[in-house]
Amino acid sequence: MTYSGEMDLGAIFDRHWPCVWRAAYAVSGDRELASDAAQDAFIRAGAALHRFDRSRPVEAWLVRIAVNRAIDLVRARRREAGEGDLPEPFALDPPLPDDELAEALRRLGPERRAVIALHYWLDYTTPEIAEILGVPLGTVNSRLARALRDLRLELEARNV
Amino acid sequence: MSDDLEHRLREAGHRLPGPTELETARARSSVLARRRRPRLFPVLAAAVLAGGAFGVGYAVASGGKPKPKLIVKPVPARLDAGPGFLPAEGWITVGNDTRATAINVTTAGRAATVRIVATFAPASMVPGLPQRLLPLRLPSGGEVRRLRAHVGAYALSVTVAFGTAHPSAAGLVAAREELGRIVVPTCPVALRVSPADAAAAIHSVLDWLPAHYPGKPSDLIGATATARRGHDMPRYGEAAADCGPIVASSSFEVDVVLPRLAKVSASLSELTYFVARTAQGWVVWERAR
Repeated sequence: MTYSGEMDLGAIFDRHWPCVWRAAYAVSGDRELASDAAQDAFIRAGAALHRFDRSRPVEAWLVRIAVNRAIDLVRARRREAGEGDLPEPFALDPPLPDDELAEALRRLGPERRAVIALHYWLDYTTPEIAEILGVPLGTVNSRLARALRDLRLELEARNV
Repeated sequence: MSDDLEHRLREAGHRLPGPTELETARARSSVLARRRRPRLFPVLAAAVLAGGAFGVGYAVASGGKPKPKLIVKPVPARLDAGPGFLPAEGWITVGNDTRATAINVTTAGRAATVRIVATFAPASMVPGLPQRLLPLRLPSGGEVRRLRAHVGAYALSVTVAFGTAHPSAAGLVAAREELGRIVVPTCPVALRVSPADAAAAIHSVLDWLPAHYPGKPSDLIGATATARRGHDMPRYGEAAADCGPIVASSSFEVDVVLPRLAKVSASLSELTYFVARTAQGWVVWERAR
């Protein structure tokens, strides 16, 4: 069974927009980028909706597009700002009350932050994250472990 | 340590915000509008092919040289046009009243990849932007260049993407010219209005809507509207922040309700416009919601 028609897309938007937006926002830390990425996900999904197998989870599909788009946009913004090796701006609005954690997350970079956000903030399992990011499960596990290690080191360094 | 870190991460996740109603309404409108909009390239390609076929057929029948039969005339610009891009040869523009995109399809006969995206929001929503007059200047930089400014009643955010870190001179010129085609409704020179003008203000908006509403024309069936004037406007503060207190106090806020959309989404079914009476007639100077 496949999707078709405008009403379907509207209904899909109403149901999944908040979750898709949050996923994009968790990765980018920027409302404008999140809206762009999430909107792109629905536009791309709308163009391919007639080919999409309805028996598969549509939310994971949308989140996958939005998260990958958000990562691309963050990278593009870094390049544009000429920041090179510096961490990209990641200024949550409203800001996290945990300043140290917010700063440590900011330094993670979008790929590792995506794994953290999808797992701890959006409650996806690691196999689901592998599906969303289009990478092997082992890659997700190693990114998660390294992200936690980096966060821990960063937080310990701040508390010395 | 690990447990503490994971606990802190989950705590942070609980505070993750969601999209605002405005962000949601804008995205929904844009997504559904894109879904409805016919693809321009296939339509043009089909038209060109049809024109070409007709030309060839004509040539064979008459023995003459085939002549192009397809003439695409740009839509004439209007003083109340925008926000958006004025039409120009070599550029495809799409958009609605919150976002417009211009894609350069040819530069000196060659395919180019200049893409300009402009988003428009009421200026009061993005305070502190520098005031600018049109035409906007192309910022220096590399592959992607951005600028944000308060123009007229709008906060304007423009992204120019060249597809290369070293754009050609032709690409730069094309981008500068297209930036010069951005139009934004200006703050009007508003004449004084009285409560008796409310009906005229409502009529002006309802007459203006069919040509400017970004959704389906059928959404407008059964539309109703109410108007409030000057300091009685619920959004007077926004109007004053966008175009100043003199314009705001001489404007009407017209709230339009679209009953057909009310079944789908309350936020999408309610539109708000600021209108003012000028020497040239009534002018819708901003969509506030």
